[in-house]
Amino acid sequence: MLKDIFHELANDAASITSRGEGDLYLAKTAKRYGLTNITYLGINIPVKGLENGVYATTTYSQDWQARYASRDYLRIDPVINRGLQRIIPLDWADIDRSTKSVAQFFGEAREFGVGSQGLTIPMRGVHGETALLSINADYRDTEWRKFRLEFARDFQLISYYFHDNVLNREGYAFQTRMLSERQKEVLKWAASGKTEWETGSIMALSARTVKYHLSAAMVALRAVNKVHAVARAVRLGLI
Amino acid sequence: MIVLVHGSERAQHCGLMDQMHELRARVFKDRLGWAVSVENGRERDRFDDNWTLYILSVTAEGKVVGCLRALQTTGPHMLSDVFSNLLPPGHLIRSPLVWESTRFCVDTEYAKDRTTNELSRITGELVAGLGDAAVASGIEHIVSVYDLRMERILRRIGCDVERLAPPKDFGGILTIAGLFEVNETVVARVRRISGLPELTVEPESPGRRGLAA
Repeated sequence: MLKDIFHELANDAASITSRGEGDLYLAKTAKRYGLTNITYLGINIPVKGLENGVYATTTYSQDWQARYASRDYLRIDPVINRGLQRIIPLDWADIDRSTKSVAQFFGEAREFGVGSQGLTIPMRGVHGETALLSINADYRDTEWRKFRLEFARDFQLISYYFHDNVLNREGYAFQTRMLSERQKEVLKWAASGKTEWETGSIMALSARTVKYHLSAAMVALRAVNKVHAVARAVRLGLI
Repeated sequence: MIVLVHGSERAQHCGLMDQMHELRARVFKDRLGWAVSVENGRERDRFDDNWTLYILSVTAEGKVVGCLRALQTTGPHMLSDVFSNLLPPGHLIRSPLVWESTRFCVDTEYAKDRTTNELSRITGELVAGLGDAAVASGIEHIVSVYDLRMERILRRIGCDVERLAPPKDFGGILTIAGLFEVNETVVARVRRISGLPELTVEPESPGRRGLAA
């Protein structure tokens, strides 16, 4: 069922046209995945009109946002300071809370309703910009590990598609959705109902390589699965 | 033992990082003769910045005997920015589900004095370390640039690398752009074939090991 949810959500991400719709999208994402909060923070977004190139949106309560601002927590927030530059998502459980200010920060966050578990997915783009997608939820440790492992892929895609949408929406042509010849070819065979193995036999590739090209085509089209990618490629007249 | 180092935390691991850059200089410049830039006996390139994950194979005595570097393909990386002519025309690697692995090397001087399996064991440890980190991050494929010899070694340890295009001559070396799938099954197979012990504990978040090291 969650797969369907993701499908619907990612469809939304590509079609967001305003900041308000973006906020709504994040709120829906949080709700459907059973998260307490979700936050997107884009930095050095190469778009005119954004103050300091920052685009931030969050489902945190007004109270917590006000508290965060009044105590200038941006300066000590370890999620932002530690999570910014690395390629592995940062699990909040791995953050060193031995300093008093950090312990206090997390204590207050709990009081203001922030979930007990959190994960921040950092991403670097090609224009010098970076993005963080943070999620948090109330889960026991073992449940959280399972959740993380199962849905890390979904949140990588959600982060990437949302980021792409922000750049496009703010007037920046992030990437032309070009498909390589290989990608077009595997999509064409998928459209005619061929399995990865059959497509591999036709194209003299292994099924694994076909799977890779399909995945790459899916991402290039901001689609969430093979069927969605085929439908979008057909609609855009790419195959 | 595997140690993960985030590029942004290299200062906390400078001893290991220096050893890694020295190993890379010995392997890529001295032994393989690649056109890489070496300063003070250490090989570095412009991709060695904060947005990297280094996987190091370290002996009990603290000697770095193998390493690789992982980059996100959503940002700058070697296959798209340096080696794009190794890819099929029009092919662009840009995906939040794909990492790139480069600068993969093993200290063969160290390995050759030991059992015949030592090279496989270190290689397997690096691939499994990368695989664990990738799987925990939601990554599905690793793309890479390597030569024919490395391709044979990878296949020998159960890492089914596939070529994205035919090999090309790059400064006198037949070089390949390849990829492999990562998931729990693949990582378990690499562990088994390369003679590594099964994981006895549930894999922790990989970030923690990097911090503890």
